[in-house]
Amino acid sequence: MDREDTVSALIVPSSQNHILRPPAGQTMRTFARGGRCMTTATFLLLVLLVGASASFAQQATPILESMPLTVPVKNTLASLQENWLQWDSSFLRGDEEGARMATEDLLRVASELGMSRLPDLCFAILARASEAAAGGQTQRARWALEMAESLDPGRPETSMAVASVARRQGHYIEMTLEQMRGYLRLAGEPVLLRLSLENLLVWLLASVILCGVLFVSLQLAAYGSSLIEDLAELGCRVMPVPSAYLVALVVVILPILVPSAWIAIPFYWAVLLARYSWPRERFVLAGVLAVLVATPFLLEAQARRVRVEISGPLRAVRSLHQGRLYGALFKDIESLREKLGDQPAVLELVGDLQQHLGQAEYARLLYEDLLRSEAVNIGAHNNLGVYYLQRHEMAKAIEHFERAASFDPDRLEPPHNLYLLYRDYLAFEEAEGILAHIRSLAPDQVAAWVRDGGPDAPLLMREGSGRLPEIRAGLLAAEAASSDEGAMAARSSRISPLIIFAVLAIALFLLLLRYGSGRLFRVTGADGLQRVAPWIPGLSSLLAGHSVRAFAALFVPVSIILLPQMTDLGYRLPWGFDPGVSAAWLVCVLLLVLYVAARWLVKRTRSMNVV
Amino acid sequence: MWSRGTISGDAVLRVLVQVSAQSSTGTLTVQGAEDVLAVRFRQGEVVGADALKESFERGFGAVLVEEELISPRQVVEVAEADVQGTVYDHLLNTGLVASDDLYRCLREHSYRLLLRLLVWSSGEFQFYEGEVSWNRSVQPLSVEEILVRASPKIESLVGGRIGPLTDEVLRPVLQGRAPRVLSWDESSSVNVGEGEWLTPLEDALLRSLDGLTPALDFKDTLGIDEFRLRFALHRLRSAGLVERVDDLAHGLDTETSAPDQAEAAAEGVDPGSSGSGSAKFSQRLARVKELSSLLSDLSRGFSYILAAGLAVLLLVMVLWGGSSSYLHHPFPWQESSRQSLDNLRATASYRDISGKLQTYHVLFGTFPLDFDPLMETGLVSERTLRDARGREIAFESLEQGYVLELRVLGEATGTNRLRFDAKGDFLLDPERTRVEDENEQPLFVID
Repeated sequence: MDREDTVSALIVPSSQNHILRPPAGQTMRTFARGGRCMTTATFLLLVLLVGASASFAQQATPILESMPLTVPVKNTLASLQENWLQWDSSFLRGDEEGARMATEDLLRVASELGMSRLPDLCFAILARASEAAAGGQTQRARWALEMAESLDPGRPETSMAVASVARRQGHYIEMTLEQMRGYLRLAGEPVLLRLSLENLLVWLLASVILCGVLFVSLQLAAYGSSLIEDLAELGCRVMPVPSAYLVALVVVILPILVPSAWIAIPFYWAVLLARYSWPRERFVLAGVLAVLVATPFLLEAQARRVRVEISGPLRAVRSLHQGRLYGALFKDIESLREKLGDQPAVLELVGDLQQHLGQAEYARLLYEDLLRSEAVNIGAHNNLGVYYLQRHEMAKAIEHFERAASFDPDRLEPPHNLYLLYRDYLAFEEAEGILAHIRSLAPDQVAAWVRDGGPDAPLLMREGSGRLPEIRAGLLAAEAASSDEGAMAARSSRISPLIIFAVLAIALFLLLLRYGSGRLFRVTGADGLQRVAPWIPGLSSLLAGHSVRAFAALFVPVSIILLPQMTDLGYRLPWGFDPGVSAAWLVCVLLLVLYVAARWLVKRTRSMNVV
Repeated sequence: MWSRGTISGDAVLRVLVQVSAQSSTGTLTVQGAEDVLAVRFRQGEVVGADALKESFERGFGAVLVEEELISPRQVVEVAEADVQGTVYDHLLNTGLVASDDLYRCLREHSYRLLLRLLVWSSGEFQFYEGEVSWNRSVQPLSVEEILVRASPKIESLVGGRIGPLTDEVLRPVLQGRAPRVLSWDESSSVNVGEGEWLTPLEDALLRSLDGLTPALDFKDTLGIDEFRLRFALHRLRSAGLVERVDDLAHGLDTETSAPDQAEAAAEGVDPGSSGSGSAKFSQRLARVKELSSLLSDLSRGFSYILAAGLAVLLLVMVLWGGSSSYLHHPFPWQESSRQSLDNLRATASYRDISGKLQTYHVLFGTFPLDFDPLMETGLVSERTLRDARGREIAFESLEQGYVLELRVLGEATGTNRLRFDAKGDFLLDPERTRVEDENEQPLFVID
């Protein structure tokens, strides 16, 4: 038996139950409520407990490093597993009623631990439903999906699974709507949303860079012959014309011989063609180069964010914030404590979790630890007050409640708990004073209490989950600190060759500027380029000298084509139910069709000269 | 849409050129010191012009008299007559002027009004865009035609007399200059502003000049009328953007330039000794042009192939080649960044697959031996089991967990490996919820 188990067994009020071990699923908090009459025996035991607590405080570090579970919590978790097995067997039998009851039991058990959602079981149900739908049991899949929704409401994966079942049933409108709903629900899933936004950045950078290279290929199509002829003209001074042209062609494709040719070639051509391009084209290419240079730094910062986003600790913090209980929650909490164990936000968060699990002793130790580093913490003082109130240590409870109330006079919980304490111990004068204070803050609240028969349970404050940004920043800082080792050396190794490269490119450009003839290419009526220009995005704009418009004309289709590749370019999203890429391809094709149609319409309008 | 401005310098000329370049349709009204003119444009061409204060006798009547279609006396009679409808209808109905002559004179009258307008030195103009009335029988008058025809009279305005088309050969001389090209559809303003500018037609002509083709040939090549070509060439010449290629013939005859010598040598001809007869020169010039044209076509084709090749190669590599990390970190010295990015991507993929494996465990109580059961249950797809670079994600089942790693051709890359241990997961690890001693006796308190 853990030491915490001993503690929780000792604090049971005598009038309630003589058997110290609570039944499965019952938490210590439940036990702590109730009797106010302290027997001598329990008093003695409490004296022992105080001693035990003191010894806990002294040895706090080894205990707080892990996430131990008391027997009641273990039993509750075990009953969760039993309920799941019950659901699964009901599902396999096709017993909807049984499955529904099991679902209700699952939620009830989760609520005993202060949680309201069970994502792992939700995903398992989605898998079962998908399997059933594939086997033709779509009706069974439907009610299973409803239950999945109740286990973790608002998950995008559930909508995706519903869409999958609808597709199997041939309900394509429903499928489309559910898929859209699923993607809209991404907004409610921070991990999926943030990773999607990071992917958006990666996609955007990739589109710009890819467009930059394609822009160079457009330039080559437009001015390539001028470049070749200029080079040939230089060669003609020392060799016959055919040889000069041959040499010119070789010079143009020379970088094919160097390693990473496909990278070198666009740069080489961009520099060679700069002499023939309009100033705005150079501006566009300079912009792309700036993006290319900035990309490693942007992605480096992004990598830190992503590492934190997909890490267990942040998942745990988010889950606690959203009331999600998943299998590895306690493991991830341990991992969080290993990383940021001494951070007040983490102490408060884990303290809150312990409080909700009913492991009040662990919660107390954490809160006390928290108050050592963050003395002005209203939540910790209030919850410690509740702890002492339940242990009938009134002096300590009053002290903590009064401190909590003094930090933020607008918060109702500390005065409420104080009122409760005075009222229950018949200190009516103090109770009235507190009630008057509460009435001045929130008259409706007091009216509601009077109407409902008065508040009878102390209010806990769960402030830890509100400190998610703080914890996230801490995790990011820890990640940055770990990745900063050797980062300077790596950064300088990245920058030095880039500077050399830039200097060489500028030198070559200046050379061409000085000695090149700068002839423009020849556009004739018979030239095939003019005929195909309307069908190649950006080419006609480039030929007309509208460089930015040419780049934009390239960017639209390229970014659309890269849309389904977003997760391959970036990071795969941890979907609980894989939505596939069909929707992305569908959107891509639709957007491309729209783009082509819009382009055709604009050209038609221009040719008709409708203003 | 409309624009307004003050007549000063070549403002009217600029407006006319831009309206023509943009193929605008609308009415240009100019309030001068002596009169108010309204010029109607349709698709950049003048389809009619009227002067507010001009009488029939001094305006259209004078044109008819000059063309000897009617006498001055008849003009006075018509002007004084109480006509039904317009004076033009009256002229046609009475048979004084044949319809073809009337329309020709109307066109000439418009030209004269425009000519008057061009020499105005003060006043204000406004251009209103919108549909205008026009007679289909009157041949529209291009702005270029007006300017070319008027050039002897407004030499200072257009930069000299615009001569006829010849077989002169021109080549571009940019010398680092990049004149602004007016947009075809830039309809927000008709004020072309200061600085060097070219119409799209002039730009196309400039780009087409190759130093070998006679200027006359561009009429057919670009598919434009003579006036437009003459005016465009004149503008390019005035701006110093082109020069005559006189030295081609000269060089071939006497001081042959190095490239020409080389070209001539390639043809087996000695350029220095060919100055005797023009026929011989023409033959040689034709051969040089032929070869030059062939090589130009070749270089153009080569550049198209290279451009298309680069575009296709890049798209293929990005879409199917799994080179996404190269796209963001293309330089050879960025290998460590590429590796780091790929590893992180692999980690994200592992996280995704791990979730599916754990779901499988929740359903079946154990991890699978390989990915096949996962695919059979539809938890993962084939695509999910490869990273962005197409490397296979391998799975190895352990007693209480599994290992995920990247493999290329069945060999572990050794760069990224994830070992998952189910220990501590209360849904996967029975030990996590097992109570140490179920039979432990409860303690009792003596109350």
